[in-house]
Parts: sequence; C-alpha cells; structure tokens
Amino acid sequence: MSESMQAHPRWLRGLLLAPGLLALAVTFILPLIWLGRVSVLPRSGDGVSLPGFTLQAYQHVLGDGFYWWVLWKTVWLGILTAALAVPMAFPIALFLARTTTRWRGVLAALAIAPLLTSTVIRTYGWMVILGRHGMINDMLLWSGLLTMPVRLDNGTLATVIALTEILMPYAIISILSNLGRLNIEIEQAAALLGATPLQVFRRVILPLLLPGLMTAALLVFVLAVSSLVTPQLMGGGRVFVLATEIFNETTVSLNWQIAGALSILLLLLFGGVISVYQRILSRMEEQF
Amino acid sequence: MVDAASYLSIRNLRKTYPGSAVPAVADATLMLERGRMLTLLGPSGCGKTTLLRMLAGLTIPDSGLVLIGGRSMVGVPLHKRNMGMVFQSYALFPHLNVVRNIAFGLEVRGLSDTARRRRVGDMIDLMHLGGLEHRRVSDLSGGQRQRVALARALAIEPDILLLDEPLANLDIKLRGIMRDEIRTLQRRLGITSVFVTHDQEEALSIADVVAVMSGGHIRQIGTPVEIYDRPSCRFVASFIGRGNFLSARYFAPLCADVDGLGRMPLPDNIRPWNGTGTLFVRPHHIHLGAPQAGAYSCTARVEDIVYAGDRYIITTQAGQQRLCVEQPAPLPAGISIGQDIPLSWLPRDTRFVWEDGT
Ligand SMILES: Nc1ncnc2c1ncn2[C@@H]1O[C@H](COP(=O)(O)OP(=O)(O)O)[C@@H](O)[C@H]1O
Ligand SMILES: [Mg+2]
Repeated sequence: MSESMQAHPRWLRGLLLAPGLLALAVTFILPLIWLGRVSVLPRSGDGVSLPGFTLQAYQHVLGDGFYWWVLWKTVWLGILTAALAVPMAFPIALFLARTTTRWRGVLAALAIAPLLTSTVIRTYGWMVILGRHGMINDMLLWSGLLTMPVRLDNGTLATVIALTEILMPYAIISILSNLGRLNIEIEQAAALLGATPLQVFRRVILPLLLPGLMTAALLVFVLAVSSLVTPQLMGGGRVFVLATEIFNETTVSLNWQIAGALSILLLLLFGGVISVYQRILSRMEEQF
Repeated sequence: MVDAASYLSIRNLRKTYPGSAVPAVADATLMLERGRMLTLLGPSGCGKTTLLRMLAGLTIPDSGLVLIGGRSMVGVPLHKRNMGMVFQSYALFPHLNVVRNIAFGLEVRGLSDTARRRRVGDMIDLMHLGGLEHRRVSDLSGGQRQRVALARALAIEPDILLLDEPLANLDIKLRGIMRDEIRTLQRRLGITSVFVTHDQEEALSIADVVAVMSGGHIRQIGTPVEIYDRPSCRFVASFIGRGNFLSARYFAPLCADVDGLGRMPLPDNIRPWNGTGTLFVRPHHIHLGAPQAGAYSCTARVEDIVYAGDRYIITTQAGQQRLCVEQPAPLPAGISIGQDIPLSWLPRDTRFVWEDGT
C-alpha cells in the first residue's frame, strides 16, 4: 500500500467509497439476490410462486436442448458483432487520434454522436434501410438486379448489421482511450530501424494496441449479448437470444423461475468470458 | 564527388511550421567529415531538434538538401535510410524486452538467427547491459534506457548516428559518465554522428565540430577551441562561457576608444571597423593586481563577490562599464566589496565580435 493512501484515515476512505457502494448495492446486488431467490422458488400448477426451495427451473433449462441452442446463438451473435465492430472502429479511432485537421474535435463528436439517439430509434432506422420497401430493396429493384423485393430486415444478419453499427461508438471510445500508449516517436524509431510501414503496423502498432482492442471486443460482446431491443425488432421473431427469451418468460409466459434461471446463467456466461479475457491479457503482458 | 570533407552535407535547409511566422530553421548549411562528431548547440527552441529531424527524414524541409556520401536523401523512405537515432524520449518499444528492443532493427532486416544473436550479444557487452537482457524496458532506470536506446541504434550499423539531447534526462553525474562513454564509442566505431545539446560544456567536450544555433540560424561552425576562443558574434560569445562586452569605436591602428574606459590597445588581428563595434574580454583573462607589460589597465570598484568552489566571480564597476572578473581561489588579500582595485588585461585577449543580426 502506498504512503499517500495510508496518509488518509480508514474512515475517510470508507466515507468516500460509501455512495458508490450504496448505489451498487441498491441497483445491482439486491436485485441479483432477489433474482437468485426467485429462480429457486417452487411453482404451482397455475403459475403461482410458492415458498420453499427447488432447482426445477435450472433442471428444466439445462435439460432442454432449445436453451442450449439459444445460448449458442447468443454467444455467436456477440462474437460476430464484436468481430465486425472492432476492426471497423480501429481505423476510425486511429484516424481520430492521428489527424491534425482543425475538424478533429467535430469528427470525434460525430463518431460518437449516435450514442445520443436511443437504440430503438436507430434500430427502426435500420428497418427503414433494410426493409421490404427500404432503401436497399428500392435501389436493387430500380437497378434491375432484382425483380422482387427480398427480406433483409429479418433474422440474424440484419440483427448483426444493426448491432454492429449501434455498438461501434463504444468500440471507438474504448480504442481511443488506449491510443495514448502509441507515441508517434515509437513508430518513427521503428521506421528508422528499417521497418517497412507494414512491419511497423504488425510489430509495433498492433501489439501495443492489442489490450485496447481486446477491451473493445469484450465491451461490444457483452453489450451485444445483453441487447434486447435490436434482436427483438430486427429479428422479426426469428432470432432467439437469451435476452429475448428472458423477456418472453417475464412478460408473456410469466414464468419468473425460468427467467431468473436464464438471467443467472447469462451472468455466469459473462463471468466466464471476463475471466478468460483476463487470463489472455495477463498471458500477453507476460509474453512481451 | 564523395570526398571525406563532405560525407554529411546539409545545404540551405529551411523549415517553417504551419501557422508560424518565423522559420524554425533557416538556411542551415554545413558539412561533416566521415567519422566525425558534430554537436548542434543552442538554447531551447532554437531549432536543433527540427534540424536533426530533417536530417533523419522525420520532418520534411520546405527547401534545401541533405546529402550523405554524395547521395541526396530527398524522398528516401525512412526504412531505407540506415540511420541510427536516439530520441530525447528514447522511444523504446514498451512491449518488448531489452534484447528484443536491440534486435528490432535486425529482425525487420531479416538477419539470420545466429548473426542476429551475435550482434545483439556484442551490443549488450558494448553497452554494459549484461544481466538485463530479459527485463521490460519500463523496469529500467533512465541510464539503462539510454544505453538500450543507443544499443538499438548502433545494432543496425548505421551510416550516421543522430542523438537528440540523449543525456538531458540523466542526473548530472551519470551525464558526465555517459558523455565520455558515447565519445569513446563514437571514436572507436568511427561512426559519423550528430549530437544535439543545449549544454555548452557537453557540446565542447564531446565534439570535433560545433555548430552554434540561435533563432533557427546556425551562427558559427568550428572546432570547440575556435568556438570558445574566437566567437564570431555576440550571441556565440555570450552563450558559451561568460564575457564582458565593450562598446568601442575604432580610433587609430591598434587602438580603440571604449565607452567608459577610454583608450584601449588592440591586438593586430583586429581590422578597422566603422561606427560603434563590440569588443569582448573573457572574465578569466582579466588580471587583478599590478598590470603586465603592454596590458590595458584601469581601476574598478568591487560590487559583488561570489564563491564558486575553484574560483571567485567578482563583479566590478569601472567608470560606466561593468566588468566581470574570474579569479582562481584563493582570493588575493585585501579584496572586499566597496573597494577600488586595479584590473588589467593583455591586448591579445581582446576580441572583436559582430553584433547579432549583422
Ligand atoms: N511540430 C511543431 N509544430 C509547430 N512548431 C514547432 C514544432 N516543433 C517545433 N516547433 C517550434 O519550432 C521552434 C524550434 O523547435 P525545436 O526544433 O524543437 O527547438 P530545440 O530542439 O532547439 O529546442 C520552436 O519555436 C518550436 O516551438
Ligand atoms: Mg529539442
């Protein structure tokens, strides 16, 4: 422990941490405990929760191949979205960090401006673009490449496209915040030592930015996996992910036990992904 | 025409940064023999880094040429320049350990494993980095980072070694040691080098040739002795060591009329000048006590005495003229503040310098 920390009395540190801890407890820990409790309550034949303890909901979920398939679809959606959003955000972030134009501030604001509109509106925007009578179909029909409109706005592809665009600003911010490690003189030193531009990128820029890229990927993955509105609207009822299933169970089937069990499973999934991420990151740091 | 005298040749290099009214470097021209060490000396902001970066190709000049071995460097991409550079920030690769930092230039050149290992081993020995091979560079001290930066630059066997204030971030004792080490190494390897510094002592002690800069201009180029002993202009004279500047009019052969000091004998290497000129005497050339034969002498009042270890710095007022005197310790008896003392110096220690901008 550093001296400067020891210089502050323990109670002061506790006092400073209290508001944050309290907010976390009220908005996260308590609901989580409640969720865990709901998921293990027995359920009567007509859907009423009874006092007691049972793992029936978990048995039901884990024993049903459908939920395993949904879990896989969820992870796949997250991976696809992260794999598209991060490589697309990378050059934008690099450009924003490097450019010397006077418009840099404006461009950076533009890059993250989409965050100012709600996900619902942006998802509808994509429905307008990809819809049966949307821009893309209109253009294809007009150019004569198609004679009948095709459905683009329904399914996994549309969901991934929309999620990629919606989550890209987060990736850009995350990468930008990590670009400080990359000082231009380091690249110039590499070039003077004989590295071609490609070698500079592969041997210096990429390894230095890898932790930032991985953080961005994790962020996009988590946000994609927990997204509800976009898969619901863009999926047209044909995309099943954990979030939509949980939503269904709570609002349509009113089976809170299943919803609770699925939520806990989703949380475990996040925990697993984050621990794997940590492991990879520390392995990478060691290697260099 | 690759003659030794112009292995490195800079012609009329000029650079004005966008948005700036004055050039950061203006009409810089100089030549350097193969295997020699040039220092660029000047105060902070005078354009040293800009000039060095133009040499390296990191900053594109507005006009002018850089030639190495008679070959123009215009348009040669960075990775084909074969230049070793030590940045002021060192610019080490933070994700690589010491060995991989040093090996970087050899790896990208595709040197064979054995050759690479041998060369890196040589560099580790040369720079006394043994035992630190697998350290991360972030875990090294300033001096060690400096050595890694130098080893990395030397490993590629560059045609030219460029160093931008490489010792500025070290403590004063280490600075002296590293300075001597760099000098010894540079001589031994016979590598043509350009060394940027704002420290005049460092510049004089390490260089074969010194180029003194101010305000983007090279004010004087010469050996350290020439620069110290025969400064061409007032800026060089005042930036390197201390000096007393005297306004004077040419009076007669070997004689000037000095403001506040009257007639003063001149050495025979000073030619007549028109109007008011500037004469210059180093403080350590001014003698306390009875004047030597042929010396100029005057009386001055002691205003301040500063002890500097091996010597005293005495500020005196002679008529209208303030004169600074350096006297090796110990101080002769009877010198104290407020007293009138005799001062004298020989004509051969009087110099003529041009006012800046003439
Ligand atoms: N990238 C830059 N853009 C604009 N002005 C610069 C830049 N680099 C240096 N300058 C200016 O050019 C002048 C010379 O700078 P520099 O070459 O760094 O001087 P030195 O290395 O002698 O301290 C200074 O006035 C500095 O402010
Ligand atoms: Mg500088």
